[in-house]
Amino acid sequence: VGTTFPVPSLAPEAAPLGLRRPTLAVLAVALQAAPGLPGGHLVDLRDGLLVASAIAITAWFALNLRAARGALRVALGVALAGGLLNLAVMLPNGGMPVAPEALAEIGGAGVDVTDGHLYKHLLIDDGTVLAFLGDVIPVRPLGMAASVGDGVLLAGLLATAAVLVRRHART
Amino acid sequence: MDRNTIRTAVAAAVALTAAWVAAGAPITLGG
Repeated sequence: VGTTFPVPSLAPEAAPLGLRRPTLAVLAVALQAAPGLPGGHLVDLRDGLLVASAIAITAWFALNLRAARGALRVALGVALAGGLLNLAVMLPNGGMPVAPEALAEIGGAGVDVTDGHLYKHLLIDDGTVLAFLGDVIPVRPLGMAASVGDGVLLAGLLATAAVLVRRHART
Repeated sequence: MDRNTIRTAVAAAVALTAAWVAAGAPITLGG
């Protein structure tokens, strides 16, 4: 009588507020940026580095999705879907195809998209598959050409940030 | 806000930004 037992909380708020393994996501960026290191020794390895980066960021999403619950899991799932849409067009084409028309819209006609830009772009040509998933959407105010996958990814990441902030505010 | 919370928030912001750069592929002029 009068004894209380600790009751484990199963609420989503009991989950860690942060995201797991941020270094894995940073590694994915570093792998893409590596060909831009002085000397350009890694430019020839760009395809392999891009694949390694894709594996790293997909693994980051997978382990965070596994740990997440509720709205956080949904938001991360939307972001991952956006990333996979980008991968779906990048893998068969060897990079993200960019529409010359979209490039011209943002004032970049004639720009060599294969040089820099995290070494993951190429121009759309007759051999491009799934071109509609490429960077075909000009976003003039930002000087940017984006893909459908970019839009979905951004929506998911912003929702993820919103869920994390809301959960923190509750605790 | 305590130091641990700030560290967690910064790590989350870094992770989300890195995820955008790594999984997103918009081409930005000057980038």
